[in-house]
Amino acid sequence: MTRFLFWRLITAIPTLFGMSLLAFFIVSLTPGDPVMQELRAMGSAFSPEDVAAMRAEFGLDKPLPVRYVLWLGDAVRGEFGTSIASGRSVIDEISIYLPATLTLAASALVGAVAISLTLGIAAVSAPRGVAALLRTFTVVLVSIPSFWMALLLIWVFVMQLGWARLVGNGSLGDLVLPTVTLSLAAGASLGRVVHERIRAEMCEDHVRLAIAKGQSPASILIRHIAPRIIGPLATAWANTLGALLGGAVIVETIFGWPGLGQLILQAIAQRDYPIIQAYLVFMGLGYFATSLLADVIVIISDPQLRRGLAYD
Amino acid sequence: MVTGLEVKSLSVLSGRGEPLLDRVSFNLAQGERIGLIGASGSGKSLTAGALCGLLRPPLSARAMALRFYGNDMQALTPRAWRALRGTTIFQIFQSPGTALNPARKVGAQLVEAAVTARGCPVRDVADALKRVALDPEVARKFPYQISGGMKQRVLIAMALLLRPRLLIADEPTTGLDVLTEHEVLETLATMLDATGAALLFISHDLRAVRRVATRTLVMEAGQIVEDTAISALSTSRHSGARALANAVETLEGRC
Repeated sequence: MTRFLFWRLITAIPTLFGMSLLAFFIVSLTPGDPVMQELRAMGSAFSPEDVAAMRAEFGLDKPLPVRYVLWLGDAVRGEFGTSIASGRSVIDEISIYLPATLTLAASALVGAVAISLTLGIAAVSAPRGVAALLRTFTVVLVSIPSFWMALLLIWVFVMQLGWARLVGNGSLGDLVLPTVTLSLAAGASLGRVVHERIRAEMCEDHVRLAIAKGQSPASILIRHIAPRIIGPLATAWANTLGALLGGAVIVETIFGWPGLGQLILQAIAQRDYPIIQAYLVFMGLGYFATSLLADVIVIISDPQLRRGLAYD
Repeated sequence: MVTGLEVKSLSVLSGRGEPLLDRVSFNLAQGERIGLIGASGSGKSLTAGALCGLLRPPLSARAMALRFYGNDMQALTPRAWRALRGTTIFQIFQSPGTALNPARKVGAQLVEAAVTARGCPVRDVADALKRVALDPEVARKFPYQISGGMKQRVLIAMALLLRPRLLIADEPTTGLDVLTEHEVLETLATMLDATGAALLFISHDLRAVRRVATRTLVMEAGQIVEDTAISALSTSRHSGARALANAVETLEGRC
């Protein structure tokens, strides 16, 4: 396992390198000029010399490839520069907003896993009519855009029932609506994965033997099906966590949740390159970490893979 | 002779109502060992599925009578079927390679059978493995770590733990070499001697059937065309059954 992890980390280097290229150049090549925007935002008159001086201050006067190399050199050491808009260190900015986003993503993942298991298991065990109804419900949930779901929830729970408030302070109570918004859609699409996996496994010979042995459906599900599908499901869940981290931007903004979404939308509007680049790198690392975790779960849940890795 | 299983005019219908199994009737006495033989697609496995209540929709079974020791099997609820399966009627399938759960140790799967058969202590697992000529160490292995013949013997050990009154073995030696097949059939006979279970042995291989059964049913296109002692098969009235017997003898003569 140690060896597997080592190689997995080594082979991640080219991937991370490619990711840094994309993060840097896509942001740098998008139209718009952070310096002009910042100077205009200050309100006072400015001369071309002011522009040049500010460019030099942020290193934007150098050619693009040179800027990339300098940026990469700093990024490897965990140094992402200073925000053009606020003048604060990028790491400081991100560490203010990151915990709220991680909290939301984690609670949405817990919600999505719970919803997916409920829908997936119900779809195979419920009577035929109920199961068909659930499948329709699942499709509806998957196809509702998250911003619309957010508005719908706000209309019902904030405006009609008054059970929640819209402008919160990041307390646990304010977490409920954004979590529900994110986990309904993710949980519904994962529920289909759970359903497919269980159905496929139910056709396997070892499940037929368990039935012939006289085991109850619940015992077959827990003892025979669960150990077989936990690996593939972990992969799907991990991918969802990555998507939840990234997709939370809009939902965070709608609900006023003080996460990275607010920071990044502002940074995009202001062409605050260092923030956007650092954000993209962090998202990439997040995806990498979750998929690595999923691979470890796949290996642990498959005795043959586990043994194979123990020997090499 | 006590009648164990009574099958009277059993039909299995497809979703469109076509009979895939057509009015099959036979009786199986307590402890009797019979072979069910026929070409692929003749309805052998469907018969087994109907007897275990394991037919998948849209297939459905109906019969004039389907009784096991006098109990009407057609009136069983899903819960009652579960209680019956395993400890009363147990079925082992072809392809031993995939019959065990690959993610769990052999021992855990046998313990599960021991627990299913109420009152069967867990330590019997080692004993059951010894009786099918396997090292009790096999319990600690995963299915991929043992051979096909060993897996089939594990399934027979499972039958030993469950102690069913009827064991249905659906081509249990498919994919095994001749020597391993011989060993598995010997083990099967040992298991039957030990538990007194009746056997319905499904196969397309008359040689294997001859080794474990005393009587045979011949199936063709969803019907039973012959029900006779194995020794009388070559003088059967039915041409197909006779051809089957003669073909095997010719083959054996050549080997």
